[in-house]
Amino acid sequence: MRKTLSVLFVLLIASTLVFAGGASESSTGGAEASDATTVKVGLICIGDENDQGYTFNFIRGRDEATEILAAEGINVEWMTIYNIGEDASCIDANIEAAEEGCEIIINNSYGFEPFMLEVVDDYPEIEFISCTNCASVFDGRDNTHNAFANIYEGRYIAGVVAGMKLQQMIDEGTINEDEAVIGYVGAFSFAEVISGFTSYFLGARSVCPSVTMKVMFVGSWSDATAESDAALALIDEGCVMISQHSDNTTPATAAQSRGVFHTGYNNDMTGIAPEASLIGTRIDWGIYFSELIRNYVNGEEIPQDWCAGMGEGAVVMTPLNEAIAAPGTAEKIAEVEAGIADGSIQVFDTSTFTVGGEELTHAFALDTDGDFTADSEEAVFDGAFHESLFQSAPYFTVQIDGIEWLNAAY
Amino acid sequence: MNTLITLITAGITFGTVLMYGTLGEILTEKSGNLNLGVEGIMYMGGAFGLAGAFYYEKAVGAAAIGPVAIILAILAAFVAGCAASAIYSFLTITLRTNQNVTGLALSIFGTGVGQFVGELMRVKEGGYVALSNSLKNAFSASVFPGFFVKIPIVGPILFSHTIFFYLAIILAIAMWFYLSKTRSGMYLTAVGESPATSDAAGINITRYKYLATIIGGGISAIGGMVYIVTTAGCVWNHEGLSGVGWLAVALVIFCVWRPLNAIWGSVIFGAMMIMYLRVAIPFIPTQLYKILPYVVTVIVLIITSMRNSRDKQPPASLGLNYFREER
Amino acid sequence: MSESSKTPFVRLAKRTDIDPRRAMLIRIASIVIALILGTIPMIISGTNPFEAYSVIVQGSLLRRTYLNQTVKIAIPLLGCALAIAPCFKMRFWNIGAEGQITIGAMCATYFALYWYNRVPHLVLLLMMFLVSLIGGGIWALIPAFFKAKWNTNETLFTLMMNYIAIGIVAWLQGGPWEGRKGSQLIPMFNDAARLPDFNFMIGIGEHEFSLTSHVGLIFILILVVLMYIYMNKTKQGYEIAVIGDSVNTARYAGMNVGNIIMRTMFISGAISGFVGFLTVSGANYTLFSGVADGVGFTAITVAWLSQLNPFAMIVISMMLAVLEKGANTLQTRLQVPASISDIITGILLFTMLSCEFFINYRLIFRGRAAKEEKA
Repeated sequence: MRKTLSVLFVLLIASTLVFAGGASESSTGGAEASDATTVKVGLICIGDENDQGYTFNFIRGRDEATEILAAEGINVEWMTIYNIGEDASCIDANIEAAEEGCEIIINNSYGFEPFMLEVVDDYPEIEFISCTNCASVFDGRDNTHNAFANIYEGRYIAGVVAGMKLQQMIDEGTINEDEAVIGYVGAFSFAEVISGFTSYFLGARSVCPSVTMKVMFVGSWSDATAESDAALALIDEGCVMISQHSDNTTPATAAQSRGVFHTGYNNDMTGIAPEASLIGTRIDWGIYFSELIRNYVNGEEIPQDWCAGMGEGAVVMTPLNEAIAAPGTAEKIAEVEAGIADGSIQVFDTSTFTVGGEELTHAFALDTDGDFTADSEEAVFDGAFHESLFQSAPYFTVQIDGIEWLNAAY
Repeated sequence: MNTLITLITAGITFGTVLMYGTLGEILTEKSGNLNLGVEGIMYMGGAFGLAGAFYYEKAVGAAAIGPVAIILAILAAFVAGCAASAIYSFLTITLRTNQNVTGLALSIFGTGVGQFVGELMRVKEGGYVALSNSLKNAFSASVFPGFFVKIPIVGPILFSHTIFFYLAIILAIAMWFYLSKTRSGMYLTAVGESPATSDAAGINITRYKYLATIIGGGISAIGGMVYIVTTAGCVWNHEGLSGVGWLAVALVIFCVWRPLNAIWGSVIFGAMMIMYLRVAIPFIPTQLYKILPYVVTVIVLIITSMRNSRDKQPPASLGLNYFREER
Repeated sequence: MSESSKTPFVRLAKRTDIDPRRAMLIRIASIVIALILGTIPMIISGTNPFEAYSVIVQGSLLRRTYLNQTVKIAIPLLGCALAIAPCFKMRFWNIGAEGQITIGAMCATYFALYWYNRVPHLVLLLMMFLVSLIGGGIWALIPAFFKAKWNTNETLFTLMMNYIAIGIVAWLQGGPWEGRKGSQLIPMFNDAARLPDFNFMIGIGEHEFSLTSHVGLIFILILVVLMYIYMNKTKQGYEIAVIGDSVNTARYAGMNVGNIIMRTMFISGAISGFVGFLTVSGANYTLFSGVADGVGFTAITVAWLSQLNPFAMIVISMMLAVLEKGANTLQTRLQVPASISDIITGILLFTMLSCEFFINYRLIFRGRAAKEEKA
């Protein structure tokens, strides 16, 4: 029996050798010649369209970019890899995409970056993009890039919509001033999320002065159950408005089931929770993807760190749920949008918030020595904290007054 | 107090999922079969249950009504679970393969099938797979009128749940009645305790083992479906069910193989899994809450083995195949 | 009772004398049947099975990088199957390899994160190696102790220990060992804490065969031989076999069964812990809660299908690795969900488990039985 097995093993090895020898000429790794108008792009995703949120939004950006570029005569062949974890499987996914001939590989989740960077040196001719993270900019390599959009601008406006609804409820006597509490489902207690909910809160407080906020972190970007549980827990804590920085729609469903309101992220969730969801905000990745691929095809430089905001159309609001929004919301949105675009409204205006009772006068933006604490580039000047100026990935990590962290352990 | 009520209510939501998984596995283990494939079975139940409701709605469109969708989802999940455990039964009972290894193989297989079906639906639909709001509502709404739910304390704890919770309770009671009050149930217990004796007494062991294992698998699978249509919001969730089946296996031990214990046991386990979002205990990092159910199970396991009290032991032949000719 | 009074349609008789070639044929046939059954999900997803299998082979073996990737998957499977073998031989159902890998990886990671700049490269790797052995060993020793002392059910105990281990690492990942605050990621290891790669090259005729892997591959292959010797040629291996046959016999023979159980489990856990070290230091370069990635479970089936023969484990683990790696390429090329690898692996396990029945038993049908009796 053992003898037969070893024979089998030898056969297996031998057949491998023959195949490997035969195949070695046909496969040359990632650098397969492409004709000028077709480009193969890999998109590695943390989830799939079923989240109807984060990854769904990327897929929409993908399809939009394909359309834009097709009109310009550029064909994009996408290779989308779904449901990859923020772990070593991301190394394998990047290798797979590179070996299958992708010329550009986009990693859609924050935690993919360290694993992506393990692969990039083996494929110097391939462009690697890490969305929402920040190490590729400063790593000295030419083929690694970061990209993000000023989603905090959209969140500020979503906050305004939420604040108007809360103020309406106060004015109508449904709740009293102290009961205007927002519950925020956050993924992790880290800069991108902190920046997001702070801008959202500041937006809400700009129209509803008595509002306060409670934040609960679920410890995962995409965990439908935990997000739902967290939303329910927040509602049980007395929150009457739910917003989220997480990938799924379950916070919207939870809000609807308990009769409170909601604003979304990544997708228009008014279809899922028509009686709860007021509005959403999302990044339009099509803008970036089309620019990226166009530059690549034309041999132009790909920005090391791409960042754009509402002005460029990279951050957009989803349709307002007019049926349940406070009267005058649409006009107010237009006004704030214009204010953000022309710079008359600063989202992180330091006169609008306090930290430990005092005005914020100093905060660093960048971490240069790799200890994960910001240590250079002053972000506070001209009366505002300047988010996403020194790098695309958010760096606002200050805990401001009025926002209560229910769990900070993550 | 308020925290406690919300904790119990939320515990029941996830606990319902576990209850099905556990009740199914209790029935299986009572026959002496340790089916470690629950994880895979629940995955399959989730995928096929969702598929049942989804394709029903796709076929009839807006005419789809909640009760039919619920029945179809239960049926689809149950049949899928039965099929999966039928494979296990055939291998372990008829072909006498090792139960641990076969169970693990079923775990791998079932997880694969579940994820495959879930993914394939998405690929075929060219986008996300979701039920309409009205069906979603039918799955997640309380069966009692709002009036009952609003009663303080008792309302949220007793009346605010989905139909699946009440069905699970009925099932637990029925199973308790079957196992301890009917002749057939006692035969089943005897098969699990001592197949040789039962065989000698003329009980058809093979039939009991097959039926208990297959039906048990079907019940476990319903748990997977309940997860998808309640907590996961009626969309396929690729990793959502991972670990749930193993938790159900743990819960069987925690309940010391008694169906009635599964009712409160699963609520406690359900509460422990979401406690990190609700209650902060100083000195214990919230992340570590999630291992509490397993730690508690280990302690139960150790204590019962140390005490060696006869009524709290696993079925004596658990995990062992029965060979008549080696009797 | 009525059933046993008449001759059943089919009767079983145990056979021990089957021709090894015939046994091998049955096994190969079972693999073929599994591959045929595996076409069902392919057809359902609208893919030509021939094309699909060819993509699986291409995507796992027929390109240097892919072969490297396949071997990377096979290493922990093989290592872990070796770890489980002595336990299973003893009929001790250690299904806690998943947790033992995780704890071994965790212990090694501590030194990788906090000692990389204090000691020389080789010393660091040696330290990581040693603590991974001790960590995995102790994690396995806990259930073994209770088994030896109070006969606590080891299947369920070791199973629970998996999730406790994974939970501890999840906590470290988001807590004390976290890199950037809130990122839930442990930083990547410094180069000093990484296992070196080596390049393996042989020429056969005009074909050149090359494989790049971390050095763990060499250690695991050495371990195959060592484990074979340990199980078949040593006194301890003999003791394990006796206990596996009958605990009572072992007791009569004067063996301290409890001690042997604990000793064997420690060895088993230590090897699993070693696999954990190889995984973090050679393949992943960091620690996360899913570090074991189901290997502990799959390896159990590898060990069992190989009938605890270390050499056969090489073939089986490679086979499963081919399926897993190939399915990834299948997904990227033909949009067949990669979970198909789990389905085919499952089917393969089912058929291979079943085939042992046809090797160990003879089916005697009613008619033929009468003829045989006459003869």
